[in-house]
Amino acid sequence: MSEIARVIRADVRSFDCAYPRYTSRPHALGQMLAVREGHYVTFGVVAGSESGPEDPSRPLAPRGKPGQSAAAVMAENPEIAMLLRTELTVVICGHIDREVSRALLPPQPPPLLAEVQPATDDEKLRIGADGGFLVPLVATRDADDAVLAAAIRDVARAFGPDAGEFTISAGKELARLLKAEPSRLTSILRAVEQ
Amino acid sequence: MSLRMDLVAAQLPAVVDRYQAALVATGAALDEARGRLKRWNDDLDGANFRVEQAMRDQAVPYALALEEDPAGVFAPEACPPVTVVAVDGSSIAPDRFAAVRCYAVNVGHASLPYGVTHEADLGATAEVGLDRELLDDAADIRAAPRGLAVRLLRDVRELERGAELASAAIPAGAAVLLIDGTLLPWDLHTRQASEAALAPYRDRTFEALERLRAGGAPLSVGAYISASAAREVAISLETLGAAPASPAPPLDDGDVFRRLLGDGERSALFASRSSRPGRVEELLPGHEVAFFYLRVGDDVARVEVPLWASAPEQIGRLHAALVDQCARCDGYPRALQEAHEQAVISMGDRKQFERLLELLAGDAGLRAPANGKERSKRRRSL
Repeated sequence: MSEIARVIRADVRSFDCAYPRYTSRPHALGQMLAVREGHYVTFGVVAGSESGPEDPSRPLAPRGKPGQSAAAVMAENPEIAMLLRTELTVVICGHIDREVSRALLPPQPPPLLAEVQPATDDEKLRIGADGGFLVPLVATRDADDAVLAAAIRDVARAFGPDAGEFTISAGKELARLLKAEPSRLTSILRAVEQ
Repeated sequence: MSLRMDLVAAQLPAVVDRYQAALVATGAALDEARGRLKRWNDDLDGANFRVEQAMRDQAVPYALALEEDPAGVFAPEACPPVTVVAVDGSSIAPDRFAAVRCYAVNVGHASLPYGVTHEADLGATAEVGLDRELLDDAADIRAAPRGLAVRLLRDVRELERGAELASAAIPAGAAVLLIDGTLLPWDLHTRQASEAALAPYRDRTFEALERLRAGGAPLSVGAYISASAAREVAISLETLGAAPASPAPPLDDGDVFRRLLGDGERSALFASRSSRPGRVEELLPGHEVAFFYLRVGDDVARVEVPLWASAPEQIGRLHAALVDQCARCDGYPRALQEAHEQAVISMGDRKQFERLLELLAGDAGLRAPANGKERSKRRRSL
């Protein structure tokens, strides 16, 4: 991934970011991202990913011959890739304020046009440690069951050999947050295990 | 008050009837024109001489046959590996009611490699300035019709940008430069501005053409005019025979070649000529224009090329690339379409430009002179 996404819309609960061009490999659903500009380092989880024409009045025609791969069609029509964009919706789940990590919404949205990068393993440990980052995610409708499960799996990987321990504590936090929705809790936990 | 549809609707059936009647008369004229086109090749030099003699004192442009059979039909070759470069421009003419009379020119480009290693590029360059900077002489800018000087600058900038991008593409392999509209900026021969005021544009055009010529054999150049209404071949054909027995509506070249050419086929290459004093080609010695017609679907497009870029290899490559480009974009060259998309200045952009200019002029304490008509037109209050 050589292209860097930038914030194109932001509020304190979520932001949208876009790559300069279309990419077939954007940041993954549930992946924790960081914006390291502004007063705070802001963290969020990818809750949506969309690719399509930059100009909505110019829909993408289904070009290509039978059996031709997407890459081959793009190579034969070199203008297409430049006219497409990939955008992500990111739900905010924490921030760092003067070296203090908080699994809470930041007081201000991240700056527009700031670079959006993957959170490091160290940052994931700091924000995700006790599963508190799930609180802002459960509170928003933008993060559905699939997003919550993918986010737990993404943070668990940062824990390495302690991933199992983290997953259990995240599951407990989730059980506390979703005690009124047992069936939802079950479906998320099943998705985490897959 | 909007258009009186009740009155219009009552008149339209008669208009359609008259058009149909004209088409019937055109059929006979087309048969005659095709016969003359075929006979032209029987004595190419003699027929060309007769055309030149007949047009000696006429101001209208006409066509002369070059080496190919004027009635010849040429199928496209397979498109070779090539970079197709296209340029197109858009502009905002200075508003004479504005506090600061400022123009904007936006030149869009597309550089699209097909089977060659060259980076694809879409983009635009923009420039702004005062209307008085467009033509040197203040009297000229007052006499010139609104927008003429901006249009001229836009045409010149398109050619310059095209030459720049085509030159950059050539090291990667063969290139085709496509320009929207005529090859040469026809406003160069306007009589509404002095020769001295037009000289910088003429010189810049000449330099851009020279730069293109330096591209040599690997470069093909074509100016594409979709649904052209030019009559140069038709006019020459009129001089090659007796006047028709029954008066028919005048044919244009599209009428002549539409029946002759199949989809993707091109006509012979013709030289563009005119006896008009001060014509553009005279101002740009060594850069005579040739042209052919290309049928794409129902459209008959005119493709102008510099005579120095009319070697069979260059024309073959241009023809093949145009057919391939049109197949990619519903009958219009893809690269030109994308260059247009980059160049276009939307109504929103125009309003934003106007507002920004007003804001900056206001900050500088500049106010537009009061103009009742303009104010009233903007407000349209009851």
